[in-house]
Amino acid sequence: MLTRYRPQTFTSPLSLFNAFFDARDPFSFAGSFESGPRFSLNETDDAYTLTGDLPGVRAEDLNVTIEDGVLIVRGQRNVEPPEGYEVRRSERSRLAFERSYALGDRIDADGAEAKLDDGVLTLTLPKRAEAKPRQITIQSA
Amino acid sequence: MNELTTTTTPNQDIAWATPSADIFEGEAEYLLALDLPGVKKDAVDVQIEEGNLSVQATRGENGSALRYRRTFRLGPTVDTSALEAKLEHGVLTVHIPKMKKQTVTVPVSVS
Repeated sequence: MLTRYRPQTFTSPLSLFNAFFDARDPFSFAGSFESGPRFSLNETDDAYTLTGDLPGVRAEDLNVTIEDGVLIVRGQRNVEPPEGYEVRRSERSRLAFERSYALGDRIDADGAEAKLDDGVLTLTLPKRAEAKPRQITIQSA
Repeated sequence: MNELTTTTTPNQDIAWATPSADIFEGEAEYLLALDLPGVKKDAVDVQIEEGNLSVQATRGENGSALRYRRTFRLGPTVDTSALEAKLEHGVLTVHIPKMKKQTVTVPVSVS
């Protein structure tokens, strides 16, 4: 299972240990604030997918970049009342967020795809061939 | 518009999520915005019953479906016959027009 971690904060002796064994995690935490929408990470043989609920966020208000092996997802939405309207109840936040993930070299950045459907973001990050699982044939003598 | 969130759950097997809401008031109408991420247009049900506006929505397939529900109490000053709802980018917007003020002047005759 993929979990984010903070390699720069060693709060317990165990965290060093964990950091070592999570070293192959391509989504290691690369630093950013944690408010806003929650994202889920899933891994298949061929790709990683990052999904998150972003209701009301338009494609033009969302920015996804991969640079030097770091994926950055930023966005926000407009929750201002229309001109001449007063706020009577306000529970919906601006969802302003920025997340970054250190991908390393396991991802084929050119094959990455981002989709925004019904307010849900799905990012598909295909693995490079070297990062996919391989079956090794055992030769009998 | 006073709001009332129902607390009764008709079926304990179903997990209901309460969507976040914004309410704006304009001169001629109220605007209600509800976050319903992942919900398709035909999976939303908006109903008016006994002065309550209730919204129910289903996200995903039967086995792993998430259900959203929220009920709002409408005041007597809104025109419940002319509601309009729109689902866009996972946000449901409901336009709730206010009743037009009907002022009747009663003539007073002096004898």
